[in-house]
Amino acid sequence: MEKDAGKITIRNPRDARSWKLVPLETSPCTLACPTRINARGYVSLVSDGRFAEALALIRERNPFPGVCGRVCPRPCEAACTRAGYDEPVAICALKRFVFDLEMKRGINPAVPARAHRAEKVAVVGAGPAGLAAARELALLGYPVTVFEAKDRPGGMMNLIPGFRLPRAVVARETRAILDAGVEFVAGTEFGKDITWNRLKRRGYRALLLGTGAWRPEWKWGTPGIKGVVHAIDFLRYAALEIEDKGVIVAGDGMMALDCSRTAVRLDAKSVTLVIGRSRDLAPVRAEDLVQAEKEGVKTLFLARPARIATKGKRLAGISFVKIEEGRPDGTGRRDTLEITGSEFTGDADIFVDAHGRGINVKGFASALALSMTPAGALAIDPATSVAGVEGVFAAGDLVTGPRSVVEAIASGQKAAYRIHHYLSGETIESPLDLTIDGGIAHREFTLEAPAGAKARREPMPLETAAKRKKAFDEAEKGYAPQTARREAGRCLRCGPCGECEVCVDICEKKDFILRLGEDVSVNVHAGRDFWSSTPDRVILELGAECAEAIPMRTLCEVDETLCIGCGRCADLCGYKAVQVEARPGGRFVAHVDELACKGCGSCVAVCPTGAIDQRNFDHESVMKLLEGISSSRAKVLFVCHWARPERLDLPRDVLVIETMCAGRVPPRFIIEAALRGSPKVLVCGCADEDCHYGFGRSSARRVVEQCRSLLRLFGFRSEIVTEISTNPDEFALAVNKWAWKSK
Amino acid sequence: MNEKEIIAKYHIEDCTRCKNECASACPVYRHFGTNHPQQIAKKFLEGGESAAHDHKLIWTCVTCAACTEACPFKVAFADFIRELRAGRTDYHPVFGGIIHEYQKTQAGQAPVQQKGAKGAVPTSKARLSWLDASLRVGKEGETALFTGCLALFDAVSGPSCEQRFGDMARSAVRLLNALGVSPVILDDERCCGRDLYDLGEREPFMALARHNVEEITKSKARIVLAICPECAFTLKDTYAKELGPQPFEVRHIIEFIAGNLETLGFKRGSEKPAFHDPCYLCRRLGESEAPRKILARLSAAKPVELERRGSSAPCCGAGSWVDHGPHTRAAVNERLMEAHRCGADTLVTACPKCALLYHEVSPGCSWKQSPVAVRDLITLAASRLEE
Repeated sequence: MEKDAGKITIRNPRDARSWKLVPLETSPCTLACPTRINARGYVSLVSDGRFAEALALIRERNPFPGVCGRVCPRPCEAACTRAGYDEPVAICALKRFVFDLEMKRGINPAVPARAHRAEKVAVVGAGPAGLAAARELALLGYPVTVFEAKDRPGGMMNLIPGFRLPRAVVARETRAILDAGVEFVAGTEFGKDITWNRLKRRGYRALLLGTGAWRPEWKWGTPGIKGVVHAIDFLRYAALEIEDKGVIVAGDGMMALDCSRTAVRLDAKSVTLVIGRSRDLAPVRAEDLVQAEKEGVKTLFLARPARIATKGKRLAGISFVKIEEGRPDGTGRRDTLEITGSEFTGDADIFVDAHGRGINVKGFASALALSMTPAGALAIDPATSVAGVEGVFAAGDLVTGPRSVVEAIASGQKAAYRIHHYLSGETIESPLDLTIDGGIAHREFTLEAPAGAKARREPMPLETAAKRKKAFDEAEKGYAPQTARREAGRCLRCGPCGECEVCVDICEKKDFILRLGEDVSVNVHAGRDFWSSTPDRVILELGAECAEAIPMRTLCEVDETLCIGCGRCADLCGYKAVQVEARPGGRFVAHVDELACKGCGSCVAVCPTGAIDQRNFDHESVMKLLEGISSSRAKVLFVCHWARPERLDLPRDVLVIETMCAGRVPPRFIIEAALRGSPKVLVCGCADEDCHYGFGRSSARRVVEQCRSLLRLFGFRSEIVTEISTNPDEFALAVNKWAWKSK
Repeated sequence: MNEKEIIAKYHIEDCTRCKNECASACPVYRHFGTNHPQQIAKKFLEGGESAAHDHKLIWTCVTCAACTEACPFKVAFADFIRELRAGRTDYHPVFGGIIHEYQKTQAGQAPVQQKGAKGAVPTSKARLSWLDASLRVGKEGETALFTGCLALFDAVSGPSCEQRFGDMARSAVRLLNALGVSPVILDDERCCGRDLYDLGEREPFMALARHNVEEITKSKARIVLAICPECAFTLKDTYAKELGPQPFEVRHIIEFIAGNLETLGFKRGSEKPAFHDPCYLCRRLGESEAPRKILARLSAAKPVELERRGSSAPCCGAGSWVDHGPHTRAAVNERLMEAHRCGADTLVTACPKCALLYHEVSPGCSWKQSPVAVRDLITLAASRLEE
C-alpha cells in the first residue's frame, strides 16, 4: 500500500497493471463486513436498477451472494447509519435479490480462470472457507484441487435447513466456483485417503486446511442414549423418527433454532427451544426467532438443562435450571449465573443438544505437527496463517472456532493471499486489511433528515406460517425488483461516492485513481463516458499512463435560442434533472442539472423544438445512419444500449441503432425510417423492472402509439412500427423473431 | 431571381426608414430588441443578398404581415423575407420537422418513395378518421369544405394538448349541417402548402396547389370553405397569384357562418371570452367582425376586447413551424397575460395553428398553470348549438 498526501492507492490483485479504486474513507457497512464487501456500492447499483453490475460487485469480495444473502448474521446492517434513525437498509436481502434474479434467469455466473502458474495448491474441505480460498487462488492463476470427505461441496452450508437456505442455492454457488477451473475430488478424507506427504509427492506446493468444525460437542447429553441426539447429527440425518413426539432443543445459536424449526416440519408433537440467553441477547437473527415462534416453536429464555435422567440406555427426563445474566464485563459480554433452587423439569421424548461443535484434526494433527489453542481451535501463526509444518495453512472454523459463513469466506480469502505470498513472494494488499487503525477511517455521519422523513424498511415477503410448518420450502420469498429498488433507495450513501466502480469498467485504459472528498468532477476521456451516482463529491485522478482528460460536460445540452420553455421535458424527467427556469424578460428556459442528469435522452425525444440534444447518440448521427436506408432498404431496430444489443446475431438487412434508452427515440426517427423505405421498424427496450431509468418503457410506448397514427396519415401501414419491452432472457429471442420474420 | 428583380418585385426601396413603425409591430423584434424588417431591408439594399442573411430574422419571422400593416407605405416585408429564404434549409423545424415532412410527402417529395405505395401517399383515409355517421357530407355539390392539417396536428400534439383537432373538423361540419349545408369533403385533399410557400419551397408548393385546384374543380364546388384561415388565404389569394384566377370562390368558414347566423340557435355559456385575431384572418383576409359576431352569441357575458385587436393583433408565434424559441414562449405569455389583464378567462381563436401552439406552449404544464383557457371558436360554437 502506497500512502502519500491524502490518498491511498492499492493495486488490484488480479491485474498488476491496473489500479483499483480505493476510497480514502469508506462506509460503516463495508468496514463491518469481514469480507469488506462494497455494500454501499452494490446498494447504489440496485437502487439504480443495475442488478447485474451489483451482483458482479458483490462477487468481487464474496463468492457466495446467494448463501450470505440468506443466512448472514449481517454485521453490516447493525453498523448501518440508518439503524440509529429508523431501520437499517436491508443490505443482506438486496444481495439475495440480485442473486435470485440471476438464478431465475439461469445465467451462468462462472468466470473461467486460466491457470498460468506452475505451483499446485491443495485445499482440504469444500466449505465456504476452502472454496473462497480456492476461487481466489484460481483467479490468481494457480491450479487448485479441492478435496472433500463428503460426496458434495458446500460443507456446513449443506447443514442449514432448506427453509432458510435451499440446497439449489448452495449447489449453484459451489458449482460456479468449481466451474471456474477448480478441480474437485469428492469422498476423500484427509489423513485417511490422502496425506500431505503424498500430495507433496504429487507436486502440490501448498496445502490449505479448511475442514471446519464438524465434531459434535456434547454439553448436556452423552452419545449412545436413545432419545438424546446432537444437533449436527439431527440436521445431518434429519429423517429421525420424531413424528408425534415431544422435542426439546437446548442451545443458544442458529443451530438450535434450525433444529427446532426442522422438528416442527417433521411433525413433532411439541417443540421447545431452551435458550440460555434473554431474547435480546440471543445470538440468532431476530426475524428467524419470530418466524420459528409463529411456526409453533415454544421458546424458553434464560434457562439451561441441569441434568439428563436416563433409564437404562433411554432418555427418562430432563431437569432445567433458570439463569440470569450478569453485568457486562470489560468486553461487553455478560456472564450467566445459575439461580440456585430454580430447578424445574421438562418432559420430552427427544432431547437435542445444540450447544456447539468443535474441530476434529485427530486424523492428521501429529503428521502435520498441529497444535491447539486453549479455546479448542487450531493454532496458526497470525501473520502468515501457517499451521504446523511449512506449506500448510489453515482457515475457516478450524482457526476461528464455529463462526458464520461470511467469516469463513474472509478467513479463506486471507489464507489464499498468504499462500500466494508464500509461493510467489508477492504481497497482495486486499480490502481485508482495511481497518480503522490502518488509516482508513469512516466519518461520523449525522443525519439531518427532517421530521417525518423516516422510512421503514421494506418488509420481507414471507410464506404463511401454516404452509411453512408443512414443508421445507424457503420461508422468506425475497424482494420483487421494484421493492428492492425502493429499499436500496433508503441508503444514505454514507461516504463520498457510491464506489460502484462502473467508471473503472468503462474506462478502457483502466488507469485512474479515485480520490474523494472534493467538490470537482473530472471526466476521463477514453472513448466512452461514465456515470457515477454522486459525481459532485468524487474526483478521478489520472494515473501516469492516461494523459488526456477533459472536463465533465452535461449529458444533455439545451440550446436556449430554441427552447420555448414549454416544460414537457421537466414533466417527463424522472430524475428532476430538467427544470424550467424563469429568466428576466418573461423568458422561460429549460435547464439541465448536470449532476442529476443520467443521460437517458427521453427529454430529447419529447422536445418539440429540438432545443435539447444529447452528446451520445445525438440527433444528427442517428439521422445520418437513417440516410443509408434509402439504398439498403434495411429493417430498423432502435434498441436501448442497456439491453446489450451486441449479443444479438441478426440478419444483415437489419440496421441496429443503439440509443441511450428506448424512450430516446422521437417520432421523427421512425417516420424518417419509413419514408426512406424501411419495411419495418422495431423500438426495443427493457421490461419495466429492468429499465435502467425506470420510465423509459412508458415513453417508448407513447412514442410508438403516436407514430402509428402518424404513419397512417403518411399513408403507411401502421404495423410498420412495433414496440417490445422484454427482460434480458427473452430479449434475443424476441428481437430475432422480429428480425427473421419476413413480413 | 437576382437582387434587382427582388427589389423591383417587392418594392423594398419604398421603405423610407421611417421611425420604425414595422419594428414596433414585429413580434420577433419585440422579444429580441434587434433585427427588424426595416433593418433587413436596409442591409439588403446596401450590401446585397448575402448581407441580409441574418439567420435570426430570416427564420424567426412568423410571416404575420404585422409589419406591412404598420408600414406607412405597405411594403410587403413578409414576401420579401420569403424570397430570401428560398433555397436555404438551415432552419430548425419544430416537432422534429414532421409537419414539413408530411407536407413535402404530400407534394410527392418523400426522400424515397416507398416501393408499391403510390409515392406521395395521397389516398390516406386516416386524414378523415374524425368523420362519423352523424355528419352529412357529400361527394359533389355546391359547397366544399377544405379541412387542412387537422389530422396531422392531432398526431403531433403532445399529451398536454387539450384541443382535439379532429373535433374542430367535426364541429365545422356540424355547423354547416345546422345551416342546411352538406359540404363536399374532397377525396384527395392535400395540404394547402402555406408553410412550404413561406419557407421558400416553391416547387412542392406548386405541386400541392395544382393538385388541390384539380381536386376542387373535379368536385364541381363553387364555394370552398376553409377551416384554417391560412388555407383560406392560400386558396383564395396565393393560388390565384401563382396559378391565375380560379373558377371557385374561397371563404373562411367563420365568414360563412357569420353571414347566416340568424338561422342558428346557441346556448350561452358562462365564460368571459376574448377573441384573439389570427394573422391570416384579420390582416390577410381582412375579417375581424365575423368572429366577434359569432362569439357575442355564445356567452352570457359580453366578450372582452383585448388591447391589441383587429388588424393590429399580434401573431401567436407559430409561423411556419420553424425556429421557435424564447420569443415564441414570450409571445404566448404576453398574449395570455393580456387576456387576463383585460378580464377574460377564455381566449378564443379561430386558427388551428394558434390553438396548437397555445396548448403546446402554455397550459397543462405542471409548473405553471395559465389562468386563461384557450378555446377554438368553431369547436366552441358547435358545442353550444341548440339541437
